[in-house]
Amino acid sequence: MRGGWPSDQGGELLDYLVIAASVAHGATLALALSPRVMCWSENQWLIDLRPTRHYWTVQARRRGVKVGPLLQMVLAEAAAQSGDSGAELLSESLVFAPCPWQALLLSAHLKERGLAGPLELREPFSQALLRQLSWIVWFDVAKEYAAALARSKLYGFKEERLRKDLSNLERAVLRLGQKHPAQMVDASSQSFRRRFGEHIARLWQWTFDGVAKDVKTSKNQQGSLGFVEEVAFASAFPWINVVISEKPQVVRHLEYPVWSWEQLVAALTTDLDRLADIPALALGAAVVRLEWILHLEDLSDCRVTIAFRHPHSLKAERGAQKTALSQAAHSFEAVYLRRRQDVIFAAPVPLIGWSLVVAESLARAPTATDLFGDAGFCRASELTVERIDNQLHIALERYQVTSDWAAEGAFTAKLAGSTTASLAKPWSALAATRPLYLYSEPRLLNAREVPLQAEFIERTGEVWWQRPEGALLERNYFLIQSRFGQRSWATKGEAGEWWVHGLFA
Amino acid sequence: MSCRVSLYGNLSHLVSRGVVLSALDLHTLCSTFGVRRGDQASLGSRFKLRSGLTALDDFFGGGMAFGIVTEWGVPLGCGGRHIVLKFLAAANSRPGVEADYPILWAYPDSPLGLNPPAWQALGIDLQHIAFARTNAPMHDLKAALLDPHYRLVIFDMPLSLSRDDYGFLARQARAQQKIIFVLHNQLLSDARGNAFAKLRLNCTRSRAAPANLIVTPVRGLASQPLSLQLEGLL
Repeated sequence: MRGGWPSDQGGELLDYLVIAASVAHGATLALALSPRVMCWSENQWLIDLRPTRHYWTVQARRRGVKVGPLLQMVLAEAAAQSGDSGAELLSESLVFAPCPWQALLLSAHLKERGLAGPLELREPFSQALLRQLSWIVWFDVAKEYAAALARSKLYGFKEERLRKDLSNLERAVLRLGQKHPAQMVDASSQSFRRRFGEHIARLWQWTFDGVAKDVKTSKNQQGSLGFVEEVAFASAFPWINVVISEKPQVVRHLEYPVWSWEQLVAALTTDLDRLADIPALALGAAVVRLEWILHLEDLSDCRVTIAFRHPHSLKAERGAQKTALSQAAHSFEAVYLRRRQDVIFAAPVPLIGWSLVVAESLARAPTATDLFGDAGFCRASELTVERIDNQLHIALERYQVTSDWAAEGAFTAKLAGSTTASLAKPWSALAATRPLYLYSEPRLLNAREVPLQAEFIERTGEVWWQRPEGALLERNYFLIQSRFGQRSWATKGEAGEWWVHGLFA
Repeated sequence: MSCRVSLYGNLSHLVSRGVVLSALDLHTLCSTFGVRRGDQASLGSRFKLRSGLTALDDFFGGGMAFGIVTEWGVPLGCGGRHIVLKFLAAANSRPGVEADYPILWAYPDSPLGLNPPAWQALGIDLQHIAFARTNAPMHDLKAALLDPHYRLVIFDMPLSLSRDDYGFLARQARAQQKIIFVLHNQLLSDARGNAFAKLRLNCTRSRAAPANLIVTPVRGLASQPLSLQLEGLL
């Protein structure tokens, strides 16, 4: 048995969590952590933490605790509120993984071995457990996957076919005398696709590689807002959201058609206030994503998503709704005003009404707030930064430095609420000789740009284990100066050509 | 009313006597005692952001005044940005104290990214600076410009800023007591003026002494060009 929480390596939560415990109100408990919850089987809930991962990470940092124990506290509180007594069992069944399939496999494996969580897949212990997974468990979970696919009514999917492919694979595994999937880790998903079909190939790929290449990423036509789309995978994982109550919404029927932002902003502000007064939100729930469905004069609908980087309280901005209006204005421009861009001189079809639906919200447990809301746990400036982040159309970048000799690996994105450490002496001395700007890819200087001067600065070892065979093992950096006085940071290739990696101030 | 007038009078007096108060302290005092916005702006314009380099601060008449837009001709790679960075580094240099002047640095969305360790090595506290990668900073950063939080805003190599944009920036700089730096990748000339920028400067390497930077005022300063050793800025 393992006790305690996994170490928070990397600091942030993994994307998915599985809870497997026989509690009466599992879905309600799971919804305290994220608005996206799927009931996988009886007493097993799959939670997509992506919409609230940043929120929980920030909350944990502000309170000076790790994210896992904070979630445990939130779950315990939610269990106490709903009258469930199995809160302890609940925390022992938690499994975090970057991919729902891996989380399900690990959860089933824990149950089979009689072990207790919580587990996090990036830990060596959890990875070792995954390697010890038996084919029996793998097939059990794959059959549940087939049933879930059937429930999701995926177009063209035939459950019988997948079950037949699974029994073919079972026979092949028996014939080969293999007990653990890890024994076949080198087998490619292409070879599985050829022999056992598309679905099994995908499951095989997810088992050890996760979903890095398969996940549908968040950027869309509304710019770099960064919200995660509701569809978890590009028509692959059969995600079905749990809905325990109707989504709060308000409907507006306009007196006359409108088409510009200025004409509708007053009515929209009123509707956001009405939404804030709906009991589910008035009790302190924060909005993660609103769906604004515009009803047009030609009887068609246009969906505009209003998403927030940090869960946002509509109640706190009653009367002004500055944050929601700021995001709505950007999204309205990106979706509605540009939808007929292809037709020259075409005016947008006027609106005759809309529905404003709370697509995702987070019911914040008392642990996550105190009597004074978030203000009790963080400084006013942090709340201001969150508010501005929520109002902006683009995400602001914040960085922290890391101890890495290679310039491209010497920094990472900074998590909100974390503090930036200073570099140790050798790295800070090195950083002082390097340029302020770096190219994403080195730029080859042409013959007319040959530098007037070149001064050697440093020799850095190459990350040779990540490079193709035969690549250079080290890089010699020079400060070069062009005939216009521009100073760059460059390396010299084998043929004497110059590659510019960065530019000085 | 009398309290407001006397506070304004006393603060004016202190400022004229050269008493150093941070702009944040001033803002807090004015808000607490209800000094009118116009008077605040008038007082704030007399507060200066100091770089810590005497020659540089003297060149700007005791430091960079709050509430203005400054325009800089600083070709990339010639060292001119070190002067701006010197001011930014000095702005949040009190250890253990919450940021006096949070910084927002907007730069174009191009293959040229940032190297944050080098910024930290030049004294910029990464805790207090946020970067925005955008080709339409006025559109994408409007909410941040309308809010008083980011006191120092830098537009690095903006692709296009219209006269209306400069007008908006000048209004926000004055209303929120910000300093807005607009850094161009080419030298400025007085042939194409900008009435909204109180200060316009060019920074180039000296041809005679390449280790020196020459700061030449185009508008807003009556002083002679300033020569600074680059070593002193690092």
